[in-house]
Amino acid sequence: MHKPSQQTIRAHVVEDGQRKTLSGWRAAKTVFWSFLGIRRKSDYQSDVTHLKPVQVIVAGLIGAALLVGAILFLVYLVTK
Amino acid sequence: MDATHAHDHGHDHHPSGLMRWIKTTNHKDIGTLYLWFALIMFFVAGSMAMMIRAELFEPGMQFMHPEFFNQLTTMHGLIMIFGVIMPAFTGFANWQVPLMIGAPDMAFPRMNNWSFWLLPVAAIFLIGEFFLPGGAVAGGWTMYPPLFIQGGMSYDLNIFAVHIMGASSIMGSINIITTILNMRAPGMTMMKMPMFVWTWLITAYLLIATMPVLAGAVTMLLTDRHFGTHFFNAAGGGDPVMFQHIFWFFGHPEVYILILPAFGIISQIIPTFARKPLFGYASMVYATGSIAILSFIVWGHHMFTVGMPAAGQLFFMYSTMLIAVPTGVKVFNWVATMWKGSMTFETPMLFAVAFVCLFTMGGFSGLVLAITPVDIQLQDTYYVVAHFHYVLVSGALFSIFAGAYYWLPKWTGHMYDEKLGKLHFWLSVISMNILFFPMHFLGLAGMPRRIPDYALQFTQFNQIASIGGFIFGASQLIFLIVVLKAVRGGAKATDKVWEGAEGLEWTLPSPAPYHTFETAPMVK
Repeated sequence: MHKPSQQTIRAHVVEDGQRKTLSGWRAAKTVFWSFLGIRRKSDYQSDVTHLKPVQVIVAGLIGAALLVGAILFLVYLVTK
Repeated sequence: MDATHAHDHGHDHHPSGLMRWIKTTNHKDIGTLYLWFALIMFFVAGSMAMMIRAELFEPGMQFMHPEFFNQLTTMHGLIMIFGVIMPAFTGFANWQVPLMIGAPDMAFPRMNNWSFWLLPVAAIFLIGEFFLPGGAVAGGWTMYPPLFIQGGMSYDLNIFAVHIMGASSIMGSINIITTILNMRAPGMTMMKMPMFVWTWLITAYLLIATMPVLAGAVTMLLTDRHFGTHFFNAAGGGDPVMFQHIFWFFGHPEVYILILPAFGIISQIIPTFARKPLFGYASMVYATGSIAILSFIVWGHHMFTVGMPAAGQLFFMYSTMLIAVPTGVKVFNWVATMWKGSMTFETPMLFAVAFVCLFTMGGFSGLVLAITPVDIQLQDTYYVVAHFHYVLVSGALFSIFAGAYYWLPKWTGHMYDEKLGKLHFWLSVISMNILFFPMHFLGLAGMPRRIPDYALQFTQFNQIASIGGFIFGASQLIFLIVVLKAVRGGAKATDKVWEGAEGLEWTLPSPAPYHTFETAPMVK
């Protein structure tokens, strides 16, 4: 049976890592646009093909936490 | 969107008689049951509203004791929310979700049956409260302690009913989520799903997230009442304000549970009668998701006056105002869909256009109330009553009427009476404004809500509101007549029914056969 070389494995790992980073960034962008409630159609379609629901939900929860943090910071600035 | 195999429904055998309805696992039967249940409860809770408006026609006590008036306002709210709007939308989901995604039925048909049949039990408990010693619950639909800790046995029955309705909603939601995620026809990707399906998917998640919170809150009420706990009893070291926080952590997402499916229905109807695809489908999906997330961080705006640090008030004020952004996107998209469309104004479209105009007014008065210092002035006044009735009557209820007229030909196989439908619309929309618009003025002038008697200066606006209320109440009988007429007969509906309609449900015959999409259609 053919075994992949170490180099090939490393290349795959790097590729997977890059894809994960990209998906994370893409999920963050998706959630950011969802907070505004708008999205370009082509971007939306590429979101749907590239992102899993779990990624969007996790990004949504992180985004909501960041939003809460941002509003709290605004409140702090106003009341300090 | 195109479908093949849409007419695969060779046999149409199903049980008949009463047992058909009791034992049914068919999504269409269960949808019909939900819708009839909602309609019956609509008239029950509506007649309570008529009694309320009769009592408020003049200052002083006319027809009832103040205790009974409080029971009426409480039960009117509870039944309209849990017994009318929510079951009606679940009825729409049961009928339409499988038809729209090309599924043969819901994912868990037996659980679907149970979800429905829990509701009449809860309804009997709720209505039965009036016949218990001390009468029905009178502490307001929000069930705040200390009143809800101190009341008689009807309060226990009410807590039980809320538990049952919560269980029903959770099971319904599990069913809807599983159906949508797992049973879509080949080719029906998430991004091709009709907006109604999207809004219900998100609503179902909201229900699963919040119903257990409500169940926890009322369970704590129950243990405070009978099992020696003091969660909300200040005398025992508890905190009644904590109940309000827990309740509204459920209660605000609940507001969106009551309106997101309405957004879905309107997003189906406007493109049909404007004969244009929905403008900004993607942004509609995003806005719905955004509203759902934001709905969890705004609950404090219901409690500005109960004691909250200024920082808390500011936080909830800012977060509440943010909701206007995605909601505004939706209103913009509906208007943009109509823009330069070849519009016709059949009854569903009339209700949909009224929804867009009047729901927006309810949204704006919500923004007014979001401003903390204004809310402190208007808290518990008729301004709040006006606000949430604009959202729930001309919003949620009008969308239900719009959806019912829109899909009635598909459900019954007969066209409804368009003349009567239009009469129902015009009487409803005019009387609804006569009923609720003066309430803004009453609230601004300082009339508190939930009172059976009032100061003399409020008389005229109350009389105007009552007259509007009586016309609105009577107009709903027209809807009943229209539905009964369509069920019994009438002009045969075509498969597509509406010229501009798009989607899998319109590829089926009218009425939709008992079993549909046994072979999944291919969506291109």
